[in-house]
Amino acid sequence: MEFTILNAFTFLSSLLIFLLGLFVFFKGEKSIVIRTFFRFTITIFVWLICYSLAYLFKDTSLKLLLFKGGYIGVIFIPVTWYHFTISFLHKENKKLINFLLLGYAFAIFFILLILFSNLFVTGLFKYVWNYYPKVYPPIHFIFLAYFNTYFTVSILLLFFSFWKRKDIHPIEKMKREYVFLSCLIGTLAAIDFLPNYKINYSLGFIPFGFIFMMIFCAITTYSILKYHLLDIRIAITRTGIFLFVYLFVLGLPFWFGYQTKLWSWALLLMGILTTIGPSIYNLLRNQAEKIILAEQKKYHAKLRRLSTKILEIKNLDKLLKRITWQVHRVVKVEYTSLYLYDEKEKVYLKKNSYPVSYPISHKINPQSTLTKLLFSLKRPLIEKEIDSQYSAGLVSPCFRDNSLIGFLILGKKKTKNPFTPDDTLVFELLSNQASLAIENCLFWKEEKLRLSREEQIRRQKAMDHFSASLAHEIQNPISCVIALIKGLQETITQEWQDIAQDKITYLNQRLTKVGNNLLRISKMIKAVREFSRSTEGEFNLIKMDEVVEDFLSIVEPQFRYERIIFEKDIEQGILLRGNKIHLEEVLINLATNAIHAVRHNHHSTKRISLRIHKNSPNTLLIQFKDNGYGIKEELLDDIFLDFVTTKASTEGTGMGLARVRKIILNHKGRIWAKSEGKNKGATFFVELPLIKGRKKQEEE
Amino acid sequence: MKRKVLVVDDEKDIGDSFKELLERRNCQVFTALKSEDAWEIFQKERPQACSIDIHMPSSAFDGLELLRKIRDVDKEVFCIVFTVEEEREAKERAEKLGANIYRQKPASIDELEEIIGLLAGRK
Repeated sequence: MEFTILNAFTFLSSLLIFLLGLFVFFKGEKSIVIRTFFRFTITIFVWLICYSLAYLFKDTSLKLLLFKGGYIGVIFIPVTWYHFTISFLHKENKKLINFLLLGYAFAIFFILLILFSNLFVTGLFKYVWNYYPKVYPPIHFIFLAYFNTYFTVSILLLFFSFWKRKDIHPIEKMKREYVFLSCLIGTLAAIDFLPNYKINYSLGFIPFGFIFMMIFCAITTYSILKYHLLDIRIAITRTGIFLFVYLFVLGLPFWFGYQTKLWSWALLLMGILTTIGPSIYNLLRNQAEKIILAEQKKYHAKLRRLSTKILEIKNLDKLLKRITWQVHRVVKVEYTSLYLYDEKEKVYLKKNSYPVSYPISHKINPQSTLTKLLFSLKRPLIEKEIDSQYSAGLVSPCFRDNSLIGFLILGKKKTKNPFTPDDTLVFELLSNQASLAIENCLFWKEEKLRLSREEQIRRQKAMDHFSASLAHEIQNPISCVIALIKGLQETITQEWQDIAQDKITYLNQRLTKVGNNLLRISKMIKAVREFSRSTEGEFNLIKMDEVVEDFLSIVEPQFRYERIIFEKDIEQGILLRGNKIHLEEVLINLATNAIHAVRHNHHSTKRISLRIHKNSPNTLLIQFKDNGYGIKEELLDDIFLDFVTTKASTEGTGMGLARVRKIILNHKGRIWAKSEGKNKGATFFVELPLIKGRKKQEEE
Repeated sequence: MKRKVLVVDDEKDIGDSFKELLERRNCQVFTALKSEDAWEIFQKERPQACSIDIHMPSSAFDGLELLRKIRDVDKEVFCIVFTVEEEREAKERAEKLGANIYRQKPASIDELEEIIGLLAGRK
């Protein structure tokens, strides 16, 4: 038995790689990628375990046999690696598959040569450090050609799988970069072929290439298993420091031992160095990373904290402001702008921007290149992918149910450093959380609206009930007083003959006025009752066309009488659930107001138009427009309140629009008005929900 | 012989006022606060005209039911029906039951003149 550092390390490496393979095999999902990688580690394991055993035994014929066994592993390395590469990159190209089969054929051919002839491994070379297999150069050259071809193809495939590719996710891109890098490192293991040829010096070359193979396997394992990879700069730095430290730890004692032949001292030195090695490694690593990531580390932590905190915010404006401001403050960019999709305007509107004065457009069209790209890639975009007009460093999208609800644009970093893949990951997290938070806020807003609507309906009901009894309680005494007045008038005129006529006339007139004023009170009470009369009539599936038809039969004669030009544009065949009588009442009420508004147009034609169409798949919009006296801006919201009127006090009670609003509310719709101002006409909008497709079919 | 008029209203002051106005027009007036009382009076006195308030919550039956009972025995008697609210349904039922006139309370002074005149049988 011959125990040396070389065979110990080779043995340890073989075990490590085997464990790594097993680890991947059992930890990862049982995909083709994992299986091919496992096969690859097995080939390396076979190579290294056989070689380490060959180094160990003294018997040369056993050594030769073990070296031949190891070579079988080596022969399979390029083709199994190539197999892994194409499955890792999801390549299903026929030519690549054929190439793979050819590779396996070559491997089998070489194995047959090894097993049944001495044309591949011909014998052993004796070096100072141990024996090493001797090859037959012509055949081995063919083998090397095969070896290089498969590795080169794999490296090229890996390289072009990420180089200048914009269409892949940054995480996937980084994985490919990692695997490519590890593969490049792995190729250095080819130095172990050198001692296969006796080169003209006695020491030969110590085959330590397997160390590269170990790094190769380790990095690849990391790339396959880990979802969030480290920044590649960090990976390179760490590997570099690792190699440096361990070359030092292992190399120094070896060099010392070789020079002085005091191997026991060398071993002691190695023991000391291996003990302090990890601390040196950690120290160097921390220092290096601090320098590389100083800026990033700081704001990543802050952004992650922000990501969790925003979920607690229930107010949308506050949320958007918080995100924009925090990101701007923490990342230190030239500007930060947040855009959100606006349902009404059908564009992305700028909601917040810092600094406020930064010149960036208020609206971004959903058809712009930027939004289209965000939509198709569904991930943050980095500087070179973004249209230069924005002069942005990063754009991070927010999705909700597969639709792009908004995005955050970050200007270039003030430090001029580009955004890294790590940044995009942090922003991806932030965006995901922001989508949730926005959804949360919208939910709260809707919930609030729903609650206030319910509260309104509840109060309305109480009001209805109250007004019914109130009306009764007031109308009866009024009737009574009027009857009493009538009686009094008759008494004074018919029975009080001794009173002067002028006094009787005076009394009579006053009593009539009292009666008339009582009637005004009564009229007001009737209007209130009219308004609170239940709007809860039966809801049926109704055709809007029919509602309009009935409405026109009532109102059109009036339009003609008033010489009003009436235009209508009604989308046919709209169905909805509602109360026909009430909806007619709404239209009549709006028409009455419009007629009133245009009545005094002496200098221009009186015009009223009615437009009804679907403004979305689920809603119907009624637009009632006139060119009458208009509505003052400050009154636009108030006109729907009870007792608010723009007409003279004798002409209206101010209950009409309140009643209309009540009916619309009961139909779960909305009503609002727009007016350019005095004498510029007004438009009333009524939006009503339509029944959804399937339900509609069922009811039909 | 004086014309007999029955005034049914759960508001005492209304009944009294009507009574005064009608008596001035030479009528014999019977007032009732409840429909069941009114029905008794009707059967006993057989008036030529009736003024009926529909809404009488404290009575055994409402004004419309009273009207139906009256019409069952007398198609000729002149009936005016009053309500506080305009109820399309009540109006239709009253007309169907044979009310001669349906009115909403309160009536103006001029309307009152007309109504009292009709009750008093002046054309």
